[in-house]
Amino acid sequence: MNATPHRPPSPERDADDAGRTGTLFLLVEDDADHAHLINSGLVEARDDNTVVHVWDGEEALDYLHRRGRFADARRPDVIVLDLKLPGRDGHDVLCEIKGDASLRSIPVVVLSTSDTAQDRGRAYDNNANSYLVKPMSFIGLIEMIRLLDTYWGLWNKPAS
Amino acid sequence: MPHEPLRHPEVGLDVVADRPSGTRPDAGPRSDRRPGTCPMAGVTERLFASAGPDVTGALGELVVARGFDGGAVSRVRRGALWAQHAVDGRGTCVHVPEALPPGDCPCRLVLRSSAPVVIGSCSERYGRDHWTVRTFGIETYVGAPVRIEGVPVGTLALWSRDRRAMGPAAAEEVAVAARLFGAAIEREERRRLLGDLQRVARVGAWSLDADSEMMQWSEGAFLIHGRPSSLGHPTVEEALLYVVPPHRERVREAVRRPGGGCATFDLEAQIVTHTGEARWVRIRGECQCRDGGPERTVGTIVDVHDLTEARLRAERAEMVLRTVVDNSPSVVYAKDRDGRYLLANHHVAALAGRPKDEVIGRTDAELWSPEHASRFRQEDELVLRTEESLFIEDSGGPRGDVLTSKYPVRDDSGCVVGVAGIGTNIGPLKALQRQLEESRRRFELATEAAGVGVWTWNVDDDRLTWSGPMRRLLGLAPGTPPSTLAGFIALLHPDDRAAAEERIRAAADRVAGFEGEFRVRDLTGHRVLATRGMGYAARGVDPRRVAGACWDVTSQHEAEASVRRVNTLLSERNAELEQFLYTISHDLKAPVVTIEGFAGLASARLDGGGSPEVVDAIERIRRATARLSAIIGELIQLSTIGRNDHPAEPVDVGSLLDELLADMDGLIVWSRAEVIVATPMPTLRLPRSRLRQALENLIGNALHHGLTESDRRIIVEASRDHAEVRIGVRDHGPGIPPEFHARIFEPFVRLQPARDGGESRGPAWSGTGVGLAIVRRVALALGGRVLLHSDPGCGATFTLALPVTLLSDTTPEEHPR
Repeated sequence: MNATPHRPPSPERDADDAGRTGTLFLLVEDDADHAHLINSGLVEARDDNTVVHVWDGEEALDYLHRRGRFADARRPDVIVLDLKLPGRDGHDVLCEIKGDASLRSIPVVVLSTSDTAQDRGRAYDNNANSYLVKPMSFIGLIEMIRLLDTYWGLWNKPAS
Repeated sequence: MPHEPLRHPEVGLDVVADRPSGTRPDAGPRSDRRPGTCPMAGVTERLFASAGPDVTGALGELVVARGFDGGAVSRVRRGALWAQHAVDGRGTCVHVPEALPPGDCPCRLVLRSSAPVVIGSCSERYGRDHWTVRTFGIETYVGAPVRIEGVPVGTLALWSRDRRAMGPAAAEEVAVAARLFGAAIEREERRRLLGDLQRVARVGAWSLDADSEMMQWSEGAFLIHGRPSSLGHPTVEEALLYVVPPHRERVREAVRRPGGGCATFDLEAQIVTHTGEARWVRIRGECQCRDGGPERTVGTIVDVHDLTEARLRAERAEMVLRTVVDNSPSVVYAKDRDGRYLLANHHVAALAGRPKDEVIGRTDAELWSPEHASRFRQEDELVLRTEESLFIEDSGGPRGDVLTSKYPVRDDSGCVVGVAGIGTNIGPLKALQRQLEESRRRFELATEAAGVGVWTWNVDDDRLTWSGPMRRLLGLAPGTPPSTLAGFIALLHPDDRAAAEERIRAAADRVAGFEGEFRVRDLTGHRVLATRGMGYAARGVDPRRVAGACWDVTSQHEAEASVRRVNTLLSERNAELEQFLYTISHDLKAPVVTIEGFAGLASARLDGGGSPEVVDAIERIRRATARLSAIIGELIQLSTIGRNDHPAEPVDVGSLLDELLADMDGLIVWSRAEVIVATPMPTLRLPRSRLRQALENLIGNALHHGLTESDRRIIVEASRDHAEVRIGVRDHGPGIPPEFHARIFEPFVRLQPARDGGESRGPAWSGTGVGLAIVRRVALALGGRVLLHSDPGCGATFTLALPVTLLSDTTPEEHPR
């Protein structure tokens, strides 16, 4: 399969998808290739999964707070957050989400290439729900995303 | 007033008791008389008293009838001799008949002095011319000279009215009486003389009666013992009580002669007088015998206290002198003017090679070689001539290294009678002096060479002296004179002055040490001097001093500052580098995930189809990616080892190994290796993950490089010594050539080419060349090291050596060395 550009997030599509039973993932990822792989993985794991991809922290928060073009955005079921982001980084975004009473119940899964204790500790200190290190093998990555969907999308029961 | 005339029974002289009639009108009024002042008073009385029976034998009984206040009245009973003297207002002794009691004094005995001698002190003054003899018309005078020691001293006269009685017989009687009278006076004078003699000479006489044990003491003996005459003569035992106990037995034996035998003795003893005074006496005696037995002992006792004390003092002084001389470490001697030795101690004797007694009395010429003797004599003569002391220092001369001093010896009158000499061996002193000089020179050279300046401050006179190097350090010209503390302080940097002065003064006050640094001005700016010093008191008492040493630490200071700068820079660079490595590794990771992801995706999509070239190409991409991924992983590991983000905890190395080997089981099985933990393992306190990292790499390394077909064993063993705990991993592989030992711990150094294959290397094989570098960094981070022991062909042992301080207190067992 050729690497194709990830399609941009579309509120219209979200509106079209309203009523679907699948899980809505908000994927915050600045690397287009990684976003493509994760998106493929999640969609492949379950057909009715929806992935909304935003490129940086600012956009993620706009989405969550339904600002600007995200005024009608649907509340995501799970946030998949990369740490290394242009502008406001993942820790910053995590901090704001978990500091916001209306958002803090949304599970945030940090998915990063960093395996340092420093990053892990900081993420959990900021109430990340899970910390996953991107495996460097394709098999591993696919397996992890499948499990991520199973756990967070299917089995996990959020507060709302 | 008629009296019955009395007749002398032998002389046949009738002495008429008749009151003399008629008095001279110029005899002077009675009021002019001065009773009691007549110098004759005592004399006459004593004369008659001492004349005693001999005189009375001749003239009848002489009785002193009355006191002499108004004139002595002497009476011869029956002879009725009377004499009376008085002194008139002009000092003339006159006969005063009125003084006589009525009815007495029919005649007079008048002693006329003919020579100004003997009879008491009055005889000179009342010589012949002063006597006034009153004659009474009809009285007749018969006189005879009285002589003492053959010298006429007066006249004994008989006056009588009875002319008939005054015949030749009477004259003969008077002559006899005068002779007896003179003899009596002589005896009396002798007795008095003897008494005076005994008192003045402090001599006494004594005798001891053998039967009665009574002693007879002379007046002198009483005086010497201080015994009041009222106590009477003592018994011999009483007398012995005066002798001090230590001498008593000796005196008793001499005096009592218990063994009999008649001999003389002469001894000295100490007595304690009646008044408690201790005195030395000399007792001489003679035992007089009769019929073979002692009858009595007679002797003298002489007070020799002053003499004996002086002698004892002299003896003590001599003994002290002898002790000093004999024990002196020096050669001590004295010679008379002729050069004969009067005194010499054993050093002289030893030098002369003769006994000390043989030295005394000899001259230099008899004792020494001619040239030495001649030289010594010349020196002695110089002292005798100049009467001044002489000091001679010999170095390697006839006397060796000797300092000789010679002094004139003077007698009581100050005349030089000889030469005394003291020779001191100054050989050791000279050697010490040379040593001292040598060490002083060495000290100066050393301080000079080391650039250490030395200064001393004498607190009392505020004098501060400095050595040559000190002057240079302070930038002073050579030969700058000593200064004061203030002068010294003024040379320092203004900011350092107060502190420096305070420390130096405190050191002086507390007699303590101090150290510090201060700056001094220099042409090029300021130099920093380190100083260390000590307050001390010379010979443990004042005056106090402070001595200090200074050296230049400017360059050290500069070097330290520069090292600090470099260190700061280095740690900044290190941090930057680590951060860089960390960031790079992560940035590298992202594309690897992408490449692997899409390669995997492609591979999955092909799903067995596709051309073999495409499949192979994708596989090659994926293998390269796996390798890249491993390198990145280890780079990250390497970059994080220095970080202190893993807490230390007690780690049971044995169970860690179990866990590790279980995790590596796939690789071990695949390698067909046998990993043996050969010894008990310690428990260490350290970050668990770090140790695991190190051991994993060591075992992995052994699995990949240390196996041969014949021996696939890998031994893990522990040991310890006093400093280190060691965990070794030993393989039996081909070993590592020595030339690689140094480089093998550098990152990315591999001894085998990184062939493209991964398949022959097993599942976990990375082969990045970072593994041993990680081990080394772990060891360093834990304060230890990694050792490699390998002989080519005999396997290799990598040992992780950690400080014993990492041994956990909970370690229950000791491990074999």
